[in-house]
Amino acid sequence: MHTRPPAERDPSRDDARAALSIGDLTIALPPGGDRDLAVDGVVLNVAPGEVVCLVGESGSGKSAIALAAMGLLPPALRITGGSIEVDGEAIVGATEPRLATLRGARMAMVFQEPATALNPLMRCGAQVEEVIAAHTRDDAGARRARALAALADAGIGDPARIHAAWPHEISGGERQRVMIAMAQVLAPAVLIADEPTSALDVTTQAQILGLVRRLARERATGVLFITHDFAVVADIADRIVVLERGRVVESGERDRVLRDPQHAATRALIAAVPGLDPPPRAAVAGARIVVARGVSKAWPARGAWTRRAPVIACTDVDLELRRGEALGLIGESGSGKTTVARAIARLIEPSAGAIELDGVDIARMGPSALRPLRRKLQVVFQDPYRSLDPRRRVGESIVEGPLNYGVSRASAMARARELMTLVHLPERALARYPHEFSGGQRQRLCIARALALEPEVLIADEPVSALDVSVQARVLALLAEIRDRMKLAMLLITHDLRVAAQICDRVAVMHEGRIVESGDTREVFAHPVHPWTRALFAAVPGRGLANGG
Amino acid sequence: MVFAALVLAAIVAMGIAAPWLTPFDPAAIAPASRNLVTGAREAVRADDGSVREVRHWMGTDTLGRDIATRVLFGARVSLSVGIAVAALATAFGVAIGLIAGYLRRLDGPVMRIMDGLMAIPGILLALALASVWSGGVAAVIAAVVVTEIPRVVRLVRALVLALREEPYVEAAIAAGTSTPALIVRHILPGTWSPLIVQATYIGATAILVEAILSFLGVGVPPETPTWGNIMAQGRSLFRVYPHAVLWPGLFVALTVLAINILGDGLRDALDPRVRREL
Repeated sequence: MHTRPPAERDPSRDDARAALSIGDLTIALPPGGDRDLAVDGVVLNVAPGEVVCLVGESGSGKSAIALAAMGLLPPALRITGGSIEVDGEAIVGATEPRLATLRGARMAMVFQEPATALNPLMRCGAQVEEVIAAHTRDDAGARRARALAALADAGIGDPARIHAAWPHEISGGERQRVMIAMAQVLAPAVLIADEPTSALDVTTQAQILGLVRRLARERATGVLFITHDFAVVADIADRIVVLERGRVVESGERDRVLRDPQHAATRALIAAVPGLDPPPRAAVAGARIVVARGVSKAWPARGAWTRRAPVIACTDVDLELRRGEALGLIGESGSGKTTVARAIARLIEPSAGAIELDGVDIARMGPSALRPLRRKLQVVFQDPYRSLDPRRRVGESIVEGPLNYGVSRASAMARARELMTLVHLPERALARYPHEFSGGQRQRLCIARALALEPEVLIADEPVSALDVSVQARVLALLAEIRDRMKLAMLLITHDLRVAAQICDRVAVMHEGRIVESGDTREVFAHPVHPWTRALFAAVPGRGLANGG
Repeated sequence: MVFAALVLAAIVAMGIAAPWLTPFDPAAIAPASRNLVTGAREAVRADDGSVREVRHWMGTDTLGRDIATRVLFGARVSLSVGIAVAALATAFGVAIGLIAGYLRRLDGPVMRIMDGLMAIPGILLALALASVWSGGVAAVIAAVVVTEIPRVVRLVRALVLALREEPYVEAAIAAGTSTPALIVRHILPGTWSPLIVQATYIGATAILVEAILSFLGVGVPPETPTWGNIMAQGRSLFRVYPHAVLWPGLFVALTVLAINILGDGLRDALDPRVRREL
């Protein structure tokens, strides 16, 4: 049966056979789950050179399919029926040694989080070479040459530098390119990519998507691309398979599915993609509540033996925020936007500049002088999984602030129950622990906690970037509702222009620690001036998606 | 875990009830009944002249003292050393660890002192301290506490440094929580579960170290029965009469094992994230 050596495959060969063929696959969940089958009768084919997007919300079973195709299903999940063939060879029922021979050579996988998918104790080049060494008899010199070529193919400008670098020394985008180089180096028949860009910035995401498409074409590799974001789908897919609760509910050519979605789940996923057109908004005429002037932050670099230059996080940032206004602070990771937010919230002390909160300069205030002012300004953090004390009941976390300011426990709890209604959660949620809630629910709880103090300013630092697109929409709608109802001033930190478009009255774009452009959202979106802003707009996925938001 | 708790409770109860569980005096020397083997029977004449048969469940030692009695009384010393050391080392360690973790200026000096203490092998340090202080049980406890504190300090400091970066701690700061309240509400509870495991481990180590120190003759004075003392005195005739070493050794092993299992169980029981799985 194995006439061809498994390590090598001629990418130019003429082969009508499917790269990946999944027939009637059924995977059982352990008893006690929300349903019996993780995957229920899924049929799926990926032709060589084709990109098939497997789309669904978290928990729809898409990752189980990916892991099954790699022969990497955890023991708790059992394949109860169906077949998986990679390049004509059966995966279901194959022995572990045979699977090990196939993995990396004929099928390869790129994971969501490049920071943890790479071994931190191995240089990047060595990790690519490890794949080659496992499947071929190349000597060290040949391995190095192939690794360098693979890195160059993955779009890395100076492969020699990355080859010698440790994973922590390179950026997230470069790490994902190294992952792709590892996956591609032996020209596998199938590449499985599990949300490979959801941990990346928009501009990096656009580059990685382009790279995956190009490699699929050039190498005739079949790509199974897993995502929950229809904007990404619109950019990369040839065909689309939509999954809901383990079943395929719709599949077809990209343009057909996007233009004429048949199933409600597909329509919901497409509708969840926020549009880039900001709706018209009346100018906000409230009083200025936060004024930041010339805010800079430099972190002193602490080398063990050497003196190094301080790390400059942001320079000379001016911001104004009025009551009832939502200001979006937009930028990539590392652009300094979170530093600005943390300085304004006085979680860190700025190195220079003035920050006026309701007319009082808080930039240099000590902790005790600051405490009475803190209730005016509250923060919602990015990671809903770490923002609530796991050892305290949710109610305790929510009333903590009011109790600090002398509110009686009874009235604080009464207020907490009102807030549960406001964030659309049941009152009994207050008596539960954070781990009992989903990410979106936890972010609602964090919003409720921030509102418990009846602040005048709400800073939301990437409040939805850890959430699925469909959940994002609901949390953003909640933020907009609160802003309108409570006449809050809101500072929204985001890397996602679509998020900013939805609720921001004004936006400021940050790049390398400086604000490079700011203005009314509609104006900036219609006529971006700074080249960097334009680059951000060009990178937004799913621009082909006709979606008003 | 339940089994470990039962074993531990039984040993504690034995220690407490020792005088009622045995007809012998732990210190009574009986030259006539030296080196009796496990389970040996002996007739004794009581004060009123009546004779009754008694049984040495674990035999007797070279001075004719009943080993079972000495093991029972020894449990008192061993367990109190374990508990006292665990409590004291944890208390001091948490206090010093919080200082090192929170007052950045003191972090360097404090941690260098702790590193210095840790550089000396624990047994050696405890040996030296116990022989210098030579004051019985209290000296043994103090000596083991000093050697165990650095481990707790390092643990607490590392936990504090990690916890103070957590978004929920920052959220509490933003909600106006003062530093003392922050430590009590959010930082300390985050250290409990690793600390409890560490404390049980320290308690178990303390019981072992006490046994070792007593075995080596610098611990508790030989007339006081402890598991280490019993083994020390049985050592010379171990080849002929192994029971004098094996019985107290069995109790040391059982106790240490039970405490360690209990520690792991407590860690899970205290964490709301895994509590429902119990």
